[in-house]
Amino acid sequence: MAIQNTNSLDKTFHALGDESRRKILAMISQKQRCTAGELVKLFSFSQPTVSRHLKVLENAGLVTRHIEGRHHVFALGVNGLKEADGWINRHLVYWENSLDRLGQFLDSDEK
Amino acid sequence: MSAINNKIEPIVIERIYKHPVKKVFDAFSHKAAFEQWVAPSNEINTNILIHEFKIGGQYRIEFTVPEVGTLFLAGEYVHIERHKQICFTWVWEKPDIHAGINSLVTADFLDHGEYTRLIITHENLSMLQVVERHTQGWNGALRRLDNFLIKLSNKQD
Repeated sequence: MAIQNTNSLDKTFHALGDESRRKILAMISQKQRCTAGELVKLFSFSQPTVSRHLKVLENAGLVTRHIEGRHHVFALGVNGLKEADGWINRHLVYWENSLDRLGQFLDSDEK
Repeated sequence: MSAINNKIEPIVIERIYKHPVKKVFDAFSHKAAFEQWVAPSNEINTNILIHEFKIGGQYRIEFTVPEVGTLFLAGEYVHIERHKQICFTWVWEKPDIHAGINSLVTADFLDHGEYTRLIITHENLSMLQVVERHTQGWNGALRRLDNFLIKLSNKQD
């Protein structure tokens, strides 16, 4: 079975497409750093569920993992968000500018 | 949290043009007019290679960007409602950094007599593709499991 997110942007959108993962991400963002154990206590998820969600978020570059003794500490990773931002910002700028040009074209066509 | 959620929301841009809806719509539907404004900058040379303005028709645009090179954008018109709505897919071609990401643009033209309200909604379909890939993946796995169980049961018989 080949389920592969070959495109890194796909990984980001896949990771952000799950409500539980968005909640985990928001909590890590709010607390700045969180251990897997803390996340288990904060949400009604089991340890394996939290681990699985964290793995997806980590693969997408949305969180980073540091091992401190026996604890795995997670923090917000900016790479994944930058990937998504890249596509969105490019098209936002694209449309803002081309629609300005559409306005100029319509006005000039009037003359 | 909302900042994170917004990452998967579509891009929505609204403009008001002091021109009747027919004129604004024609700026999309007529190749010569579309070519005049579709690039985001005056410095980008635009050449519309294909422009089949009908449902199921294709379009392909060549952009020559100074100091960058040539970029190709292509897609298909999936819905056209004259003077009301145009819906088309939007995919950059290789070697663009966003090549292969399938997205969908909907242009809604709202008629206000002497002026037109234009709403552009640009959705990234990556998430849907991911869901589809997963479904296909699971279906494939379950078929293989099914075959395996049938073989196992035949052996036992």
